[in-house]
Amino acid sequence: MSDVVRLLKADGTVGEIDAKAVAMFASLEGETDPATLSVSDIDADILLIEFTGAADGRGFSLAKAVLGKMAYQGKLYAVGCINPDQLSMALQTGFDGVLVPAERWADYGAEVWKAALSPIVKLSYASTRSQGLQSIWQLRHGTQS
Amino acid sequence: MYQYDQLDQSIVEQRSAEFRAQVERRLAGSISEAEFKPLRLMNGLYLQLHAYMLRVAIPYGVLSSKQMAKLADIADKYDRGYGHFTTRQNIQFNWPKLIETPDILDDLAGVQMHAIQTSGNCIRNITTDPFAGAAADEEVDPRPLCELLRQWSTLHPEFAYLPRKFKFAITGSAIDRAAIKVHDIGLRLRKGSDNRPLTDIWVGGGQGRTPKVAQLFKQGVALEDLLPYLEAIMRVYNRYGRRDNKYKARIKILLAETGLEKLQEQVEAEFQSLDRTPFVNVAAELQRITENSLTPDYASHNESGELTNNGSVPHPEFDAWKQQNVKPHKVRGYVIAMVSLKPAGGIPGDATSRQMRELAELAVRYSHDELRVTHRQNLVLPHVLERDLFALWQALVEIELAEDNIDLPSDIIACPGLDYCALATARSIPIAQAVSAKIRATEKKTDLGGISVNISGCINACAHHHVANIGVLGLNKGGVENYQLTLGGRNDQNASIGERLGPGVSGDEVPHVIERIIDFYVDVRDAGESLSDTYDRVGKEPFKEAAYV
Amino acid sequence: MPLKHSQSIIIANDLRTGRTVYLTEDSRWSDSVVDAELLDQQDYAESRLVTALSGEGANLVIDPYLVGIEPDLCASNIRERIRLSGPTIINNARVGIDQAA
Repeated sequence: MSDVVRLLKADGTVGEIDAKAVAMFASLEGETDPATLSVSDIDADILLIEFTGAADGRGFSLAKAVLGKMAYQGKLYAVGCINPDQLSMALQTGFDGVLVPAERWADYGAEVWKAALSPIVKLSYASTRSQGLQSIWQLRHGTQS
Repeated sequence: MYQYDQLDQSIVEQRSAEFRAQVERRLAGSISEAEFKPLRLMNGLYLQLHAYMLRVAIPYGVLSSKQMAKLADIADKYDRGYGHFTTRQNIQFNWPKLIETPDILDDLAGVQMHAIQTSGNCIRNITTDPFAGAAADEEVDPRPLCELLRQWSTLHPEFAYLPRKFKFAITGSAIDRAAIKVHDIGLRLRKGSDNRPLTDIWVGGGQGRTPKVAQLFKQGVALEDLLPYLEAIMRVYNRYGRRDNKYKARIKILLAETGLEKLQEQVEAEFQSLDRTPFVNVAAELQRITENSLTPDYASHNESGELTNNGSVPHPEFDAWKQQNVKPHKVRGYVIAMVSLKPAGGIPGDATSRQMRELAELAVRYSHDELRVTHRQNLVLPHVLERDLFALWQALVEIELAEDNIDLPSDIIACPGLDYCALATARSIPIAQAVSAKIRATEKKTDLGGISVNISGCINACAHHHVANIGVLGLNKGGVENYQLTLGGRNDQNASIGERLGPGVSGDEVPHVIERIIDFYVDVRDAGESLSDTYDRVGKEPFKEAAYV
Repeated sequence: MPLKHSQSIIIANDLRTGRTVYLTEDSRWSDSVVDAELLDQQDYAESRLVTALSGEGANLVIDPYLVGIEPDLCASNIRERIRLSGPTIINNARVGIDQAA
């Protein structure tokens, strides 16, 4: 049975969570308008943002809004239509990791998923929340925490 | 022009290495074509009718001699000895192999170039006035802002998966040579009362299936607020832009459906609540970009003394070229020399590797190492000493690039069309060749003034036919190519969308119809009146009567 | 999909090079249209398309499909005709200059 979901964290650890437990986590769809959210919507230790399409990047903006102006303090995981080539963007916008159903995990293979945690591109111009990525503007001007 | 530092260099090299790894995964079969396609498109690699096509970014149309020479090398080494300059001021190669594309990207990285975001639903190559930093009428040099926007938009995680592609254009002159009003966002830089630059933001212009002229969205934005404000527009567009229909996904549709005032309110709310920390370094970065840019040493060049024609020998061909292709420069003694890539009967925008290499040499000798690409698919030598012009012209004659037709009807914009493009419905290049071959003779004997003729091979309007004085749109009617004409468009500060003249005609008919339209215009025009002005004055019917015999 | 023409061939792009390629009788992919297997029976053409699609699965080619052709190996549709024969452009300007070089 494929009701096990892999949790790939930014620090490289891989966990397994029962799909039923995942379904209990607080969750937002990527296209949610941050203006419609209240603090109670994100009052959780673990919050999921679901990417509903591979060509829809709104979950990245939502992550920034939740972590930024809504000051969410818990763990934030991406779920849904997100592939290894998009993982760097997820880490850059502040996700702590990604939840991958067993079938999707096997499609790409554990090695590809893990390799995606240390992307070849290690630079970004604007700010970044990812440990593995440096902001060029910060490196040049060094005025930001 | 801007020079990369080690960090700019690293990100381009890393991106190239990343693409190499993606290509390897594709060739090994670990990702399917469906998964690979968006990845290759993010690096400008399309699959067209006969081969892959690689679109290389020429950020804001600025090229060094070294870069131009490298493009020539790439054309020879990996392609078929030529390149095609585009309306986004980029260059396309029509025959690269997938297996060699990573090597091409490495070669490009070696001269501070890349193919990042030349395709896909992201912020595309930013375009500007091809005379930026040189034009006599310029108020603010747009290039530092162009570079800042290039950096900001490069691999921006929030804007890599927009509803649709997104295009910026910037001008720093009152005369708009960058067509900013037919872009998703057009920026007009001007000087404020205290001499500090301000930006007027135009939103929602575009072409394609639903052509729109942009609306003035926000006036007088100070540079320190500009990036946060643009980020706010992008977020609102990304959030509310339609994803259910690709023909309704551009910001022009969002603007039309939401209404200007409401969209302004949404953007203002986002702007006010936006986290400004990522932008704290923007002022310092703009300053650094300006300092890291090479400015021509006009004075020292002045003393070098080149071979010149002092005017004692009359030379009508040179005079004609100078009259048509040379524009005023902001520095006394200098001019801007335009190189037409539109020989009569030739392929608009194509240059051979030999021509590219020779032009690179000419830029070293005569233009402080710099070249520009125009959105009308021509090239520019932006900083030429007036007294070098004759020698430059002679050299251009040698490589058959001295056509004196800038802004004349034979200076046609044409997309690749059905000869190459998988989306096209009809051919464009052969039509452009036939039109330019036919009207070149008329141009030489009659002063036509500026007339733009743009030919697109499908409704996506890559050749900007909607904003041409004479636009041609190639369609497929029951398996046969059929061409619709539009009249009265403009792409400058008075941008307007052309009107459809009447029923479509066959490809063979197009040159004749265009010739009759031009003849009619010459007959009825008032002094100093452009074709679109005449069209506005006399209306469609008389033009229609003249065009369809 | 019924065959609209008396004869068809199967066309695709080579994954590595992008070039137009044609399915041959012995199930290879050739870059020359004269090597293309001529298909005149609809059932057989469909079974050959299955073979062609397995070439896509094996990461050899992209997007194989059937193209109806005339007896002279020309496609009747303008798009397919250009695909088969290459760009129709005659570039006098470029030919002239490169021969001179």
